[in-house]
Amino acid sequence: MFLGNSGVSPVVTLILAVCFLVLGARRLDTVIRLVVFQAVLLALLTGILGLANGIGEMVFIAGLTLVIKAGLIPFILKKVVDRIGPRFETRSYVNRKMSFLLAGALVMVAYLSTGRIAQTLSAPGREILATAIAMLLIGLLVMVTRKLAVMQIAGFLIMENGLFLAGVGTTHGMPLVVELGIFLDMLIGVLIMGILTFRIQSSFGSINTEKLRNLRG
Amino acid sequence: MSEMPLILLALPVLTALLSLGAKNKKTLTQISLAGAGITAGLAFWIAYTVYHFGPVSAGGRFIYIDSLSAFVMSLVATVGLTAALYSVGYMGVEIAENAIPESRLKWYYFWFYIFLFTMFLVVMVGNLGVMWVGIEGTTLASALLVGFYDKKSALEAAWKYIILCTVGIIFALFGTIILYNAALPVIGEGSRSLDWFYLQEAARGLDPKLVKLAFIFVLVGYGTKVGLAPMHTWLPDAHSQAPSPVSAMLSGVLLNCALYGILRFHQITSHSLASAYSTRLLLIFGILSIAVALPFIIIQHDLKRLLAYSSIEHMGIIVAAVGLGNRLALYGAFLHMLNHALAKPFLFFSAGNVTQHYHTKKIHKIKGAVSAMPISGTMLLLGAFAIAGAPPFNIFLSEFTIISAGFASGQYLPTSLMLVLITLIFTGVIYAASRVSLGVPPARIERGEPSKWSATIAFIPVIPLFILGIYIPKSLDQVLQQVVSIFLGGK
Repeated sequence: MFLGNSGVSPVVTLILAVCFLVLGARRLDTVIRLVVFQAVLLALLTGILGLANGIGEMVFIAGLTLVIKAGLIPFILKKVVDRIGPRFETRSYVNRKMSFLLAGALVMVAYLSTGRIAQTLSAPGREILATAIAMLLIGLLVMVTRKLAVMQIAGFLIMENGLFLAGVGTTHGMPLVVELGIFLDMLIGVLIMGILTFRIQSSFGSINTEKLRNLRG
Repeated sequence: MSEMPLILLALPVLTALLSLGAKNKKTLTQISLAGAGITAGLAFWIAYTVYHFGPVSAGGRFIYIDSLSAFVMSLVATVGLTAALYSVGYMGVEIAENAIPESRLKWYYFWFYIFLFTMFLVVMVGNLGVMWVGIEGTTLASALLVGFYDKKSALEAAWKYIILCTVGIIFALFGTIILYNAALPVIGEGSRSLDWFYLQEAARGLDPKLVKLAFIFVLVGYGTKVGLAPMHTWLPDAHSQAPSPVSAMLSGVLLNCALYGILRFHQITSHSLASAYSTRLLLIFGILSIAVALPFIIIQHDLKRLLAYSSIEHMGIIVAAVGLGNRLALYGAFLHMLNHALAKPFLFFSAGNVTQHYHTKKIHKIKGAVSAMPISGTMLLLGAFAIAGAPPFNIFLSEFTIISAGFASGQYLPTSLMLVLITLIFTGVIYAASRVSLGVPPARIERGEPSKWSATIAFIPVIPLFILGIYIPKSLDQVLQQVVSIFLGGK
């Protein structure tokens, strides 16, 4: 059914590694490059699985991933970052060492928890599901600990990539109409978050979400 | 007939696109009123067909409307229409006072109708995956409406809203994927495995472990959008910062649309597990939400935030009632859904008129609304009594039904807890409303209604609140019975 561990495993591992690189990144434009890189890897994985199983829909989805996640979405992010200066640093509530430590712990949690729920899956399927859950958690970590609005969008993208991976790895992706709807939501979502980031930048003079804490009680 | 549901989906999109092309305020108003009117008419007609001739499907199995979907669909249509009517007066005043430039009005209507479209999509589709796309769509369509005033506070609310709800809803997608995984071996590949109708039929064959897991993720995910505690933190910000007609839509029906998503998963889960697993969870989250709303209502200083926390309370009541689980409690839950959807927009309209006139939302700065604004002020006070659950208003009737259903089925602890919390919240709401409505208005406030139109729209909805508080028409009773039967698994 699958190409076997040899074909898929390295790509899955790389996808997870990119999440750690995002945690370690010092500048916003690096983060955008990593977003592109992760999307390309996802497209590659989907393409391999699609060809190996002879499913045309998956190859189509792989192409769409390239266009939207490696093309349009990073383009929108780039516009936002250009507006606020590409050398902007990725500010965080926790330092990088602590981030890595937390992310490592999250990966372990993900592997332990999938062991209990995914006995019915094949070995590569289980590995993909564990990676997907790890990405879901690391994405959440990025959103919670990073202060800049753009980094929160990046965290959201990592989370969604994790779900996409879960869909592709454990089933052969969701039905096509659902996948198309999710892509559309993602694209419009990033666009609207981008617009809001622009407005936050012009009203607050920064995109540091630490300043967004006036509404209470 | 068969393509009518597709036309219903197309109408709001068409209205949105036409709004973008409109040249001035007058044309925009005409487009909006025509669009909202025709959409609502068609929605009611489809709902009528469903109740008299059974479920309607269209576009293959893309759209499938049973009594439960038709019920929530009618709520969306009703609140959509009244909010569109109210928008005319409210936005008119905002433009006249330069709070919003006239050139941005078309964007308001554009997103307003896209928002309406996504809500119709959620309740009409048969596929749980597309339903997810619809619910995420409601967040995206309404985020810019929440931030429409472009002030710092509005942007903060919009950012929190889109980030928290998107993260929440990602968990719901994970739940959906898990359920799809559970369904694949039973139903087979393809979109049928995500069709709630087939999932319900095949529920007994699904792997119970996966179903449980899926339900937890969906409850947390869509629960964020429903405003269930402790995921409710976006709700008071968004409801208080949005323009009042949008607050009415958020509170009146958006929350119900997300709840509809949970209810579909709940149906599948309870059929599959034959245990009270999901019912118990709903009861716990419901009561927790009512409890969390209480302190914020008692100490509240902002009129619109007060209404927002009251929405958290009422969503909690509906969810807890579904969690009580027996037939009478479910009847009360759906009646309460209807009553809240009628009462809360009404309250947001009258509160909108008052805050617009006083230029503040702070409770301690508003005084004597009844004598300053004879219609809107009075309606605000009446609405507060209605929403708090005083007889002879409709909310009293549904709360009474739920509480007696709880006691009748012997679930004394949760039901008494609900009763105590609801009573305490009653005092909080009435105290705040009387501070705002009674007394002598400050000298700077002009007497009279700034917009006759807004005052009229704030007045009309009080009539059904009274009528439904005294008696329930036979047709409505039949509709509710049908919804409950469908919900319990009857055909």
